[in-house]
Amino acid sequence: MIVLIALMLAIAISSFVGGLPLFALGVLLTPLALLHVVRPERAREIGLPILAFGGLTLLLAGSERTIAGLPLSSAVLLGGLWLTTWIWTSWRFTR
Amino acid sequence: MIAAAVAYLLVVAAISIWAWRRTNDARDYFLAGRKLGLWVTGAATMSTAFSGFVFLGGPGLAYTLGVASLWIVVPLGFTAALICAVAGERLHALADDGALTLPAALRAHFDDRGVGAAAAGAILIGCVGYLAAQFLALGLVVEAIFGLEMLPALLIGAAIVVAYSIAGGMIAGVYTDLFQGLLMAITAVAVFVTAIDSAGGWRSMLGTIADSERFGIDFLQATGTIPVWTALGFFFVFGIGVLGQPQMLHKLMMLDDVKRLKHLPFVLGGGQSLCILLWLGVGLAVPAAVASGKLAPLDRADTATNQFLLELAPPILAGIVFAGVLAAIMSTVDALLNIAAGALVRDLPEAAGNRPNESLLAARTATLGIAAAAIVLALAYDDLIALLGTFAFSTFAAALAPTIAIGLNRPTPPRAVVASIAVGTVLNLTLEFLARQSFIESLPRPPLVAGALPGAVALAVSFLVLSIGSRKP
Repeated sequence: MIVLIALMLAIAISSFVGGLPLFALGVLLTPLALLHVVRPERAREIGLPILAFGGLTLLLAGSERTIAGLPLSSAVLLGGLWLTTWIWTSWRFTR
Repeated sequence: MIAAAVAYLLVVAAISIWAWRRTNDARDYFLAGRKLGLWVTGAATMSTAFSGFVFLGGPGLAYTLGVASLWIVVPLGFTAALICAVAGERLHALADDGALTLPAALRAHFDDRGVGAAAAGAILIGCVGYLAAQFLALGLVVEAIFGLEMLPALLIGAAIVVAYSIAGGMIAGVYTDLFQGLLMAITAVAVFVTAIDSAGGWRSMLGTIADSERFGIDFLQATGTIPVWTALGFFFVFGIGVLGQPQMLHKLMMLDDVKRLKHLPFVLGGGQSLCILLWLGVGLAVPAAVASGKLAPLDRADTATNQFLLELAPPILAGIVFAGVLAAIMSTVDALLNIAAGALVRDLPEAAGNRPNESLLAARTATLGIAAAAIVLALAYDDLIALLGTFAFSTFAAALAPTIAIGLNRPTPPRAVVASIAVGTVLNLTLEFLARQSFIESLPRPPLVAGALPGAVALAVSFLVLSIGSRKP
């Protein structure tokens, strides 16, 4: 809960005064922290793909390399954060 | 095209008449008798969650922002699982105990009338904003199909959907949602394929956009046209904020068997993924058509879907898709009207210590009044539909997501819940107003992009209030 409070503080304060890395970390870690607080058994299976693919999308932002004409960051956004995460979390949820 | 739209409306009318005959009491009107299976619940939740916001506002936003607009919808890769994991079982159990609406469920869980009142108030405010976005989208579609002016188009579209919502309540809502959800998914896939084909294939389409002076490669980058702040603001509000969406949470309460929850993320996320293909397809095909000179630059970005259907799609497909877009809008409107009516005639009276009004006449009259308020807001609004939709989504998110996430799963004092709902609602309204207003120059303007960051800040602060308040029960 303390981690969640710290993340929310980071998001709120950094929105107004700057500090993009703090804001990004807060946004991407929130699902993991939230699930850890209220549903620990679901934290990793839902939270980790978000952190991994979200972080990768941001790291690749601006890269000029493309996959099938789509810049790498957008390919990870669509292929990873959207489709792979849906298939992974839906499959894990049935177990 | 008109024939397809009329045929669609006749099917909806037939379902509504059937539902009207099956609606006997408040449990039927508000919870569809709690007899919904996995596929009906999945399709109804999907079509309720997706609306004119996604089918018209989405491509409009994509025309403006490019691929970066998709930060709003990529969270659906995990939101279906998140909502089922965090809220599904508890809300279903509260419905087992007799709760018909979300505020009633929260009031029962916390055993506090103030919680019910705060939730009902926030839901009413959010519903009016959300409904206004839907009515705007409805006006655009009716305008395109029948060639009417915006005002009569909006009023005619609103009259139709309000009529069937009033007649059939939630039974009409969920079964029209099932039909509408199937139609939305099928048309989204058909549009995606046609859109890519109209641009000469996927690579050709992206190449045309990347090489154009008007759009360029930045249009295709994940954060190319907007600050990373805004992209992450969208992601945060739509990823975590889904936990506060009453139109989706309400559907979980209607499931006939709680064991079906474990398969719901696959059905719900799958349906949503299919529908997003329309956002992606039209959102890229229209800029490609503009870049290659097939289409004139759009005067109004929200007409991207209409322009694609009228200018680039075969007429038969255009007719079916317009019906699908109507379906997307109307399925959301009926659910929101029902939820808002429940807040007005049941939850607020109960919060004041009175018996809830069980009369169907009261529920139907409330539905009409809320629709009128939303139509007035729609006529006064002058910006992208997607941004009005984002504001409404974030109102629900900031008000209710912390309560649903933490409050339903950990010991939480009611006063912290009421404070969180109140702070989230008021802060979101205030920041959005300050970010947009130009009437009073002396008022401070927060360094936040309207429609994305005010909601993110309000949601974070609302979480903070609840988290800190929960530490000393």
